[in-house]
Amino acid sequence: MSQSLKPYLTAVRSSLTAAICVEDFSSQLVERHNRPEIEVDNTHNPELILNPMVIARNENEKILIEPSINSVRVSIKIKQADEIEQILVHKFTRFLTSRAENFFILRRVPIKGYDISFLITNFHTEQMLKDKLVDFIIEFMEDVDKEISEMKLFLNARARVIAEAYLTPFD
Amino acid sequence: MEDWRRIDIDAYEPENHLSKEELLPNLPATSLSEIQTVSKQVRTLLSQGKFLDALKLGLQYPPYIASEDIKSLHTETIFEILCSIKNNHNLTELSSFIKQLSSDEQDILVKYLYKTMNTSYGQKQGGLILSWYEKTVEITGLGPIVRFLSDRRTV
Repeated sequence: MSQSLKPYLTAVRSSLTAAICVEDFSSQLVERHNRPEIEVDNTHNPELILNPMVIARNENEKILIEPSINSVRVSIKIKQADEIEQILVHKFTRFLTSRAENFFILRRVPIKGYDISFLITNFHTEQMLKDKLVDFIIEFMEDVDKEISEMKLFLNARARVIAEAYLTPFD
Repeated sequence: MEDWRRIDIDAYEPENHLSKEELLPNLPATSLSEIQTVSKQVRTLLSQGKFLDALKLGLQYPPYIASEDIKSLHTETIFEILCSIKNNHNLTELSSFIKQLSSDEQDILVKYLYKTMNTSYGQKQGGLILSWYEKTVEITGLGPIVRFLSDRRTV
């Protein structure tokens, strides 16, 4: 693990552990509704939203945590050093978000400026263990970097083989 | 009346809910000149090598009630202190600085660390801020983070 990745991940871990502290909360505006307060318009009850926090490793790699009384939204910006990585990240996140129903906490559309978003509500923390949820997000962040760089290497290797195959007749 | 379904009926009963202004803590406002004096004093202390005094001074009077410009000016001052402490000491010495702060000052330090990570210059120095953050949380635990989340006295 590289030098600055470890403090980044520990910072994310402690921030998430502090932020995922949610309870069941019925809507104050609409009767018999129970909705994730971070996702709805909060001009009339700003007290339900807590201060959002950003944890950044550098400009291209950061995470935004927006907590509220009954839900936490976590948005991740995955490292993209060049155009190939941009395409790979786009394909990868699209693959995941189109299967969002299998990933319970995954949000279908990421927040603007970020690549992938999770929405954790009090119902998720009731069904699943909080520590495991935090572990899942940390593991996801570790794996996604690994996966993207692996795919990039594979893509480059393949491009080289193809180029060689095409150019052999002119040899 | 056209499109009456879209009328925001809650806006007609402002007494039933809190507004953003009511959430602001009841504290005296900080003016630009106070912040500028603090930043000047901090620079003198830093040039004299009194790093702990500079840090304590910076964290003493955070501008809770002030415009966004004044707040970000003070954030830059704090960032300057953190940078110069990091540049003049090695990583293990950071813990001793944090241990010498009172618990209120540690809370404010965590607030500023989060605030700095939200700025472009803080993100360029991500490693520096993250190592400060790591050392602070090692000493304080999760308390200051929870207080950062729920405190309406934002920096």
